Amino acid sequence: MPDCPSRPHKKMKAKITHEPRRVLLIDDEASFTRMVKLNLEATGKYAVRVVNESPQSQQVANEFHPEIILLDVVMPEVDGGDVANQLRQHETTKHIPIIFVSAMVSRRESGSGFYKSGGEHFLAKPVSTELLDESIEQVLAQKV
Amino acid sequence: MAAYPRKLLLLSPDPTEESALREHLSKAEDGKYELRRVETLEALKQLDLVNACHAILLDMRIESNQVLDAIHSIGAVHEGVALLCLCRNHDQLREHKDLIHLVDDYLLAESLVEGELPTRISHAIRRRQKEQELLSEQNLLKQLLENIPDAIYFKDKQSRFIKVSQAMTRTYGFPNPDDILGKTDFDLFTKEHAQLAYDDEQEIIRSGKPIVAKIEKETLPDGGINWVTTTKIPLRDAHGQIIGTMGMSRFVTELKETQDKLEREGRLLKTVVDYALAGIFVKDSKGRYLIVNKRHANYLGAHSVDDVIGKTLYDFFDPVEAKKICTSDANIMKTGKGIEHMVDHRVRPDCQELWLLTSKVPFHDKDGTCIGLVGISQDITSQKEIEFKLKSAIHTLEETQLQLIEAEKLRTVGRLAAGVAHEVKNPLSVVLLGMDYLKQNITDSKELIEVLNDMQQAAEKANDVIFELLDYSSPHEISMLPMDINVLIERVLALMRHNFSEAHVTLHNELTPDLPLISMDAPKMEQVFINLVLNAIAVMPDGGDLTVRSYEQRMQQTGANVSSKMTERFCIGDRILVVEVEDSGKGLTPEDMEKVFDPFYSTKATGEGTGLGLSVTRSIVEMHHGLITLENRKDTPGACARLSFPTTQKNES
Repeated sequence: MPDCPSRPHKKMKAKITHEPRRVLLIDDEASFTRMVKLNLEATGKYAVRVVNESPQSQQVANEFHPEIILLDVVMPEVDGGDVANQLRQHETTKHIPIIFVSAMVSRRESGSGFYKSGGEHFLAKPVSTELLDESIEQVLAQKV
Repeated sequence: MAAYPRKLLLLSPDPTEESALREHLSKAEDGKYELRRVETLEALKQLDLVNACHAILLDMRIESNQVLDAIHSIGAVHEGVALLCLCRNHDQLREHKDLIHLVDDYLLAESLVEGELPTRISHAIRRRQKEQELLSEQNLLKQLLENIPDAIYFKDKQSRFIKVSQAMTRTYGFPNPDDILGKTDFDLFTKEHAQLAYDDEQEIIRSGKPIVAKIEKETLPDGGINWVTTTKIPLRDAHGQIIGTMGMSRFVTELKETQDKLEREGRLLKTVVDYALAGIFVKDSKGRYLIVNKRHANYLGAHSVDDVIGKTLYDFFDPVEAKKICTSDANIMKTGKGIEHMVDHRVRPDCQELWLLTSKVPFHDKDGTCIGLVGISQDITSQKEIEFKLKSAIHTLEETQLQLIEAEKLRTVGRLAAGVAHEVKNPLSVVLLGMDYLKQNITDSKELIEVLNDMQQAAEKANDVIFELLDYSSPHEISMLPMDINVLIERVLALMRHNFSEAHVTLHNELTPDLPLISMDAPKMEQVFINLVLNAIAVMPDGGDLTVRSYEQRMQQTGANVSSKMTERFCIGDRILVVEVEDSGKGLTPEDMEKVFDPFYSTKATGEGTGLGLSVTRSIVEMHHGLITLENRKDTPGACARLSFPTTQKNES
């Protein structure tokens, strides 16, 4: 997949006011990461970097300096919880907000799909581009 | 005294002698005499002399060799018949002088004066009879003393034996009665008995008062003991003067031993009955209590044994109950067949319930007639209570097991659903995001947009199905019911027993009984304690101690030892139910304290757990309006999870 911004969504183009925000997407499902990257970059608001093999997460994060991380929970090798613990222990990455993206939640837990539990942000799969965008904006706004 | 007419028999060869004697007898003044003559000794021997005559007159003219024979024969036949010799004169008398002392009298026929014959005959008869009576009495005494098995003794004033029975001689080891004469009790017995007997006898001699049927213990020099019943009376001479004592002692050693044995057996039986660890009773054929011990009296609701004796079951139970038992008792006595180990449920007059294990057998007299029954009852009330509790516990366990099976089933479905959800939701995400992208880029074909919308709706429908599956597998239907939290904890601990033993963890149960009930969803709350206990076991890999404690406390004013979370959740004065689960592990680091309830935070090594346990636990506790805190123990290493619940729910949801 080409590592260049894809064509922006027409109706979202008007919202672009500054440089794309760097989003690190960690998920073992390549088709999922491709679709998220396509859709988010199409908004023109985000530059998305994908990690499909979770053990590489820390290294990529160190290089990419993401402003926000979308992190899958259930992954082979190192799962989302452990990746999060690792990132938060590291000086260069501990301040970066994380949104957990999980298929393992019931509707009652997830509510609209984006929710907070135990101090963490969660997004329930499947997620729409619109909700992804809103959730990222909300978390980044809190950080600022 | 012989009756009249006096029958006389004359042994004489001379018929004239008969008529001569008749002549003499006819003039008798003292009454009538009948005379009969026989000629020979043989003829005389043929007669029944005792009934035939009172006296025999022997004419000495019979052949001389027959005279002695005649005297001996007559004397041998009957000593009660008087025998007189009839000599002619002094010459003939002299001739037979050696024989005269063998007969009662002699008569001189030729010189008989008027009236002499009947007088002499009468005197001879009377003398003979007196002698006979004396001999007879002597014989009676002799027989008595020789044959009676009792000790009979006559003593002088100094208590020396003057005559004793043969039995006494034998008993005290003397060859014949004469050997004992002149001796005293001090020669026969030890001083212990001899002195008592001597004192008794001297008192009888002094007072003249007898001692009757006194039980005495005779102690012999060889250590032997005789038990006797003794009667002693004063011995008087012909003038009524006391000249000593006489007495009779009957040997009753065997009787006394039998009596003692019976008494011992009676005492033994009474001891057994009184102190048996069971109720024992004996009833007569009318159902009246003859014997009952204290324990059985208590079973009947009576205060003492005396309150029961002579009474029947109708005095202690209602008529229906009493009749039922009486009918059963009557049947035992009728058939002779006892009953064993009958479980009896009774309600005592004080309304206390009683379970008895009773056995009864018929009771027969020595002829084999049933005269009542003997029974033994054991109080098995406490065993019965345990049995009921056990049954109830088994029932509860069975129910719990069913619930667990149901829960396990749901967990299996849950795991399946989670797997399915993960595998399906990722592709669905791709599909939906793909359609998002296509919709953004296709603007010129309305038809294509519609197709994409249809596809999106279909994908979302599929997503709904997955959600339903996930929702179904997590049983979140809450059913809040008031419950004793101790019961629930005990159930969990019982189920996890093998986890403790496997991990070498010792359980300390410090649950306070009678805590107020709190409304809870039992399966969810069980999950809470299972999680806490499993966590505690996990932090003690080398074994340790786990304490589960429950108690009630009142919310105190804000202070150093009351956390801010507590003041947020509870008001001062609220009654709070607290449960603590303590382990003896390493305890928590400050970092653990901060994040322990966060999702995915785990102190376990990577891969051992997802770290969802405490987060779920907290959710459930909060669902019950409770609070969970985790802290290190103050005095000893280890952590303590404290759960606080309001005892009255603020708002039921």
